[in-house]
Amino acid sequence: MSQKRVLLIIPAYNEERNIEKTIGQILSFPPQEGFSLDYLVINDGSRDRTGQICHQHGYPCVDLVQNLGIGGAVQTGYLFAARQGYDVAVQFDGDGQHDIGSLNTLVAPILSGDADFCVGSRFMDGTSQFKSTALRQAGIRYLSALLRLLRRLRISDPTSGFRAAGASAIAYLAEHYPVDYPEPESLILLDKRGFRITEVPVNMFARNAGKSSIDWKRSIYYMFKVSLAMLCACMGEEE
Amino acid sequence: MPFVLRIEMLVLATVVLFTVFLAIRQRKLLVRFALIWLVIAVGMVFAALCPAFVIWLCGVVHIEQASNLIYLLGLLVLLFLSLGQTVLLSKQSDQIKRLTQFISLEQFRRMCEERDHGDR
Repeated sequence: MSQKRVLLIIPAYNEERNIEKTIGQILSFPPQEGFSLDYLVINDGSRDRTGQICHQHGYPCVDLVQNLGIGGAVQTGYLFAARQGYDVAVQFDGDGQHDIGSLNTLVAPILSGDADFCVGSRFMDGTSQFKSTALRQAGIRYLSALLRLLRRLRISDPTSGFRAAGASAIAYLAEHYPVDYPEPESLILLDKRGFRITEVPVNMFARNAGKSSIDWKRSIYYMFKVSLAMLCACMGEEE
Repeated sequence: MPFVLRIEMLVLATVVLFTVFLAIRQRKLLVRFALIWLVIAVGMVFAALCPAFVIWLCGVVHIEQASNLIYLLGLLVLLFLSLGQTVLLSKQSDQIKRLTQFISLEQFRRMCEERDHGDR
């Protein structure tokens, strides 16, 4: 049986303080028996030295000619993965929050053929080092409940950006990926298309440096917008 | 329908027509987007010249004053025009996103090729 190919998609926007550490973590990850591992940084029009650092160190890096936001950046990675025929694509944040040590757990359901899409959850077994505010946890619980209500989908961490997609899901996401705060909405789109979605516990760290893409003052707007997007995705036409 | 209102509509229609033709001539406006403005201007001229039609329409939709109907129609036309433009904006945002992705991936492919040639 030929070895499976896994691609880490690393979206990075103004991550000059984190990107070296993130890639260092990946490079120190030992070779695996079941799959070969590549990575690709998507520099989302950073205004700092993120792109320069990547090129200096020879990290494979796509420089988006203008900022597209997290959705457009991740989708570029899926486009690349689809074109290059990868078996699995894993979204892996450039800010160093995701733990490469959880990679095997995350890709296992896809490599075994049990799922098409796998979400890495911070909350499943309580071992994750990630600490979040009560407000954010309440928001995540709300989105989780909304997912269950709309699609009967049981995902404890719908906003997790540490996720893995199999070949068929890669092909779909390369064509259809929401633009802003895309994680919960994309789960609905995938579920509607009949992709099998599962969830596994993963470890995440607290952010090394830089600001989260969602500061709490904007969380009410975020919740409203994501809820609306989820409802629209649910009601949208089948393609 | 008040005479002054009819004159105002004719003047406004003339201004719209003149502005639209000028914008087309200066290549600031594509003909396919100008068409809707021309239709609106012609509609205004028609309403100003045929008040009987406007008064008949008032009776159909149960609006007492012709001027109220004119304002309502203006409001509705602008609302739909604005909605149409938002739809167009969304479509073009998506097109720009796709273009950005394809250009950036193509640049990356070329960079990899150049690096591979350099290595040989």
